[in-house]
Amino acid sequence: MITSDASPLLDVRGLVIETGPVARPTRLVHDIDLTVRPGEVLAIVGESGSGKTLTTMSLIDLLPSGVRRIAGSAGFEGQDLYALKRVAMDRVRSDRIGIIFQDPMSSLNPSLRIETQLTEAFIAHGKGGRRQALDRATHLLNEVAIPNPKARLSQYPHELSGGMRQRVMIAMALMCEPSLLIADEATTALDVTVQKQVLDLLKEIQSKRSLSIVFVSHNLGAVAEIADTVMVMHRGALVERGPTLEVLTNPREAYTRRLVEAVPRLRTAGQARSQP
Amino acid sequence: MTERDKHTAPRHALAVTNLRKVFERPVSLFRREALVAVDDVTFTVAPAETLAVVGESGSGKSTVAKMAIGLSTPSSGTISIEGRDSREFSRRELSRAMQMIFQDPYSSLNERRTVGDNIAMPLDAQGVAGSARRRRVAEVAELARVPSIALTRSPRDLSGGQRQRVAIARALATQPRILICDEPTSALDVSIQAEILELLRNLQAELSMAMLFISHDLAVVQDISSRIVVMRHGRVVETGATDEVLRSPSEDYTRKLLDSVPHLPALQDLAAKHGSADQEV
Repeated sequence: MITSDASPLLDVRGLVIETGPVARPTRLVHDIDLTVRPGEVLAIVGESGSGKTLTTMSLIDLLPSGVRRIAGSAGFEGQDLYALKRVAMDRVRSDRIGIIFQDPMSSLNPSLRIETQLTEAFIAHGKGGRRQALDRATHLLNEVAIPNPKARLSQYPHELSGGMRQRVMIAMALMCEPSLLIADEATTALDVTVQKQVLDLLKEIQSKRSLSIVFVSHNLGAVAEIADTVMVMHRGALVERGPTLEVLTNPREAYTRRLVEAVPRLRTAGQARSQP
Repeated sequence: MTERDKHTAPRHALAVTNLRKVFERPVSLFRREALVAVDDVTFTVAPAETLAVVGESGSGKSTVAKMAIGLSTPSSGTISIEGRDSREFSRRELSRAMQMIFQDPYSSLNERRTVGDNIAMPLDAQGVAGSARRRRVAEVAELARVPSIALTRSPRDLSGGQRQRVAIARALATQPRILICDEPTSALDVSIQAEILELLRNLQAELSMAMLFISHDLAVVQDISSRIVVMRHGRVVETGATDEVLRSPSEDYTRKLLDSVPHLPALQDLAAKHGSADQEV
């Protein structure tokens, strides 16, 4: 549910990202504006090299080395994310902004129990003691539909399946009750049946908390299921943005049309097919 | 075998019968655990037919492909190529009969050799040299739409889509009767994916090869295959004509798989768009 008159939760203006020598830089992201209102799910879609991931990672200061943000501001809860010092950014990350990456195995620490990974930031950010952290972790694992959460807490990431790990990541991202969730290709590596479960779960959690989500994906089908608004990027620039259904069914730009047309569509009994 | 199968498959290009693969993995120093990756899989591919094998990760679909081309030895069961047991084939014969295209065009090409040399690898293995080798490389490069200017370059200079074209050209070099494609478009961007699928579809028809197409993507499989095998946990769940299976699956698992595919609403066609634009104002 989006409150349309509310001021944006996230307001990015004039973002420019470059790489290469300072004298002769290569521009990777050209002057991008982006807003996310409270409770809105914004999808950023594009092919590889479109700049969708760089744009998103710039928000949480996770640009790869050698890649620089040279202009822009990012208003979020009364502060400019781009002006934050490292310590303040560490606090915003995971406290106010939760993050879910594509590959849960590379973002979970393989040598730590699920319990430690879930509670670490919560305790470090002074949200409560170990007891409270454990209660909240159990509660969240339950919410992300992990059976027998108490037992899972003492397990290591390798003991869980891919879908379970992605659920743990979601629980971890929610530990400090953030207002914004960043999901970077969060369902891409999952099998299609598991992908559906995780998408349904994200939708449920989103509407329950009226969470804002930036959903980065190249999977237009997944985007159609979850996003209110879509932003299409190509070669570092914005192509078009608008309500999801409108952009995906009636795109204004030729590039978006080509992108949407290229997606192989499944024709099943339930869906009418126009025979040529 | 059903009546329909008999009708569409008068002779087999490839037939796998009761195929089984068991991996043994050590649980402790003295104990090993058996993992049945492929269990009693049987199917046939007719000449010039495309058979798709679909399933989620761990379904055993890639293991079947690897066994078919001889990269992995079955624990039991047989693979026959044009009616002959594949174990009777020499490596040379096998590479003439069957070639494979892999998922990742970044790891499947040798970056230390030129694109042309990469394409010629199966020819080198057959002992084709000199002008015959040059001619054939040029031919298949053209078939797979690899620009001739790229032949002297390194694969490093090519994009993912171009690399996959090179892998396709290489697979065609020995004029195989059977082509195995293991998730050939899964690592590519969606617009490139469409191009490669189109290319494979055209080549298959033009060269009338039998194709075994391994994929997790039902939408991709729908347009390229005439028959489909759905696998789960190493076993065949359902098999039949692609259109029939996807329109009215007879197994719960197939239905669940179909229901899980995210639904992308249909694109309005341009004519309709202009029509409605008139009314809007």
